[in-house]
Amino acid sequence: MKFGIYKLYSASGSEWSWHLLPFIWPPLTLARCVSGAGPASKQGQQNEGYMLGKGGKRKFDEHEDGLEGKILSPSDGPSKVSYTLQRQTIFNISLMKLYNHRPLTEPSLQKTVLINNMLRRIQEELKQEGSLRPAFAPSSQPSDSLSDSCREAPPALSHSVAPPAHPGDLGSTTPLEACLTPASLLEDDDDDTFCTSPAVPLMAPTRLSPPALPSAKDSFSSALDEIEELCPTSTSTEVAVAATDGSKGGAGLAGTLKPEGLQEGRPDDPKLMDSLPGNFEITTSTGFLTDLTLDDILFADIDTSMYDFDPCTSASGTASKMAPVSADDLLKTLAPYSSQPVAPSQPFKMDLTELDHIMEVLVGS
Amino acid sequence: MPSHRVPSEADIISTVEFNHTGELLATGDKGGRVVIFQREPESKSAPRSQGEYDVYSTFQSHEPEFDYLKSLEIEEKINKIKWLPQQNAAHSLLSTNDKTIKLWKITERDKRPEGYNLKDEEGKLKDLSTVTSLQVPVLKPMDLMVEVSPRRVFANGHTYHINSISVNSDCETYMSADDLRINLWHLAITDRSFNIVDIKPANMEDLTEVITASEFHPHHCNLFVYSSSKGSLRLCDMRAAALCDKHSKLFEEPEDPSNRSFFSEIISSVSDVKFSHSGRYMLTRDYLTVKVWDLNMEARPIETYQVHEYLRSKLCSLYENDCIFDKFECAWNGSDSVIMTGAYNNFFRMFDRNTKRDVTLEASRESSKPRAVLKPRRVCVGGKRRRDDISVDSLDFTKKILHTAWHPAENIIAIAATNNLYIFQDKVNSEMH
Repeated sequence: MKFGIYKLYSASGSEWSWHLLPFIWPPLTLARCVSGAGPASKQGQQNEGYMLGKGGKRKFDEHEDGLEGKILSPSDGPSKVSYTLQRQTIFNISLMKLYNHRPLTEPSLQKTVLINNMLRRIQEELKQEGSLRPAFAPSSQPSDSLSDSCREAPPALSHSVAPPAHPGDLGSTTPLEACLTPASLLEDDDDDTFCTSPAVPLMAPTRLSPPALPSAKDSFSSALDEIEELCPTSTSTEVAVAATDGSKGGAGLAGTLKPEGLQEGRPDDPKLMDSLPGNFEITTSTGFLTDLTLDDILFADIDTSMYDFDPCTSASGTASKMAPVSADDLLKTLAPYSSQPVAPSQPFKMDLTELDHIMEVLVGS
Repeated sequence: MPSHRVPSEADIISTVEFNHTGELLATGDKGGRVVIFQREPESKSAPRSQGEYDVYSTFQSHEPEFDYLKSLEIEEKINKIKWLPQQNAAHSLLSTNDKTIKLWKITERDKRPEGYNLKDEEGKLKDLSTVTSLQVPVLKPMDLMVEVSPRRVFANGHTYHINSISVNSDCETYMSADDLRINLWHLAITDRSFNIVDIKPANMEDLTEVITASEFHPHHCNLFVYSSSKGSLRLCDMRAAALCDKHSKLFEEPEDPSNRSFFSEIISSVSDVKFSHSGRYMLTRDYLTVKVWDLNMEARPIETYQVHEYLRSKLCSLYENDCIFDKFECAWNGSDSVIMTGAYNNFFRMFDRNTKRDVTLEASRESSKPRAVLKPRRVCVGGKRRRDDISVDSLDFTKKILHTAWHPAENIIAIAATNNLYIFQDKVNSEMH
């Protein structure tokens, strides 16, 4: 296909006049050329496409634009919530990127490094914010008031906590879509759903169980404390998962399981790594893996089986299913504890059988 | 195979490079093929066809391989092509995929000997009894045949994926860089290379930075630069030490606190670095900007140009769909007065360093009809919208121009848009200024 010589764009010497040389490569018919660009590019990249304008994505992107339109920093008051949400969303996306896809070729090390840096940064922030917590621990009165205000918030907060626990090794977009819910809920709720103290929305996930039922403090919350001490970076996710997992009968899991469980979990890492998807092995084979993400995978399997969601369901369906489940289950799991007289030895017993069960689930999946 | 071949992913162009005179233009694609174009010499008899590029040679450079140890495929995609300076009638180039670099020699054959004594025209041995006299074979012209042969294969030098190669000004050595290491090779020796940069940490879990691009200085054979995923540039002197882990100069711009976001690090990752032809400056491309650095000033770039600042508010979505990891290249014109880089929606941008003017152009068949002019495009971000403006929301992020090249002496540019190659020429200003 030959093109003619073109008219000059401008007679002025200072303007450029770029025009197409009589050259098109590859030499094709025009019809093929026009259709050529489309299929090739669409074939090549499944994840990319129009960023906005296609129905399914629009909600997410609108939501995203709303989140990221402003300059977000942790110090702003009302935008702290959206900052936290954005951070959570990015955290989820990052985990999904690392563990979701199964390339035939080695994944780009640069991409992996950048995503890991992102996760680390978010972890560091969570850790730093988590260090504010001790101020709220001692008195029961503030915790009651906190618990009241936090009860109002649970649906939104639980979302922000629960999704990271299952980083989507099911290979679905639902964890992402699940993240939509916090924002949409937030848009409906007012800011006063959250406590006046800016630190609470962050703290609440980690303290949700203890303040909610102060009487359960002796076994359950102390167990939570131990979990937090041992795994400070991922406290919010693990605690929530541990709590929600309780309904499965893994009551002892959250208990002193932690010192045994996770310690046992760590030597078992090599075993687990073999059973996990291939790309995971790639990242671990380069030795490039943080403890946090491994633990997330561990708890991820527990958590998702409880929710029992189909990766292909729509965003609204899944999200709405998740909202009541997490909050209600949380409360349900805590209720039995408060009524039972818990002996120190009991958690240990339940804990060993539960550990076996969990290990089976993990290794089997 | 049907004649109407559906364009496949293998046709996606992955690198574009002019040779040192601009006479030849090489492209590599995802399928491991290299296509070389040659500029037709200008002739008075056909003034309309002056300066056109035609296909000169096509060959398969790399084949897909399988790494049995890791159970992974090694892509045959050509990551980079670099021409060697021409030293005789033949042309040579280096082409590389993720793991292996190959040196190809391109020769022309336009004459062939005729009149052998022992063989006939078809090459069959003559019956000696029919040979009555001796003749001297003569060279007769034949149709031009371009022959390409692999002269060297530089394999097993890299554990990680090769992202750059650069030929040294000494014309004897070249370097290849992967994510964590840079090796120095001699063009004639394939069984060993020298490691000159190694940023691999003892514990891979401590890895936070990778090498993204590297290049030799155009005049000083001891100097080279490499860029990192954290946005820093390191100029190294090979005379200082055998292992150039310690940089001679570190070029880094402090982060702008008003623009801080979760994605600050990712968008600061340098995707390409190019020395100016003069050797005085460096050009870097990160996700949203191109920057010109003066080798004498490490603190900050001397010029920064916004390529698509309107994407800053979309970074989360671009992170989610992986576009934020796209590696755009950048290019100088021959006189170092204009810089060029690609963007999305098949747009590419040019910045005139002297007049500070910039232009956005589009490489698409629809907008390049006969007799049409390539008109500047504009992306509107809200506010007043002119008729032909494109809104940010309707940009096509699958149409990205990652690879561009500028003729070393003239205003001719080559733009790779997915599986199409466009060559544009500025007829008004064919001289550079």
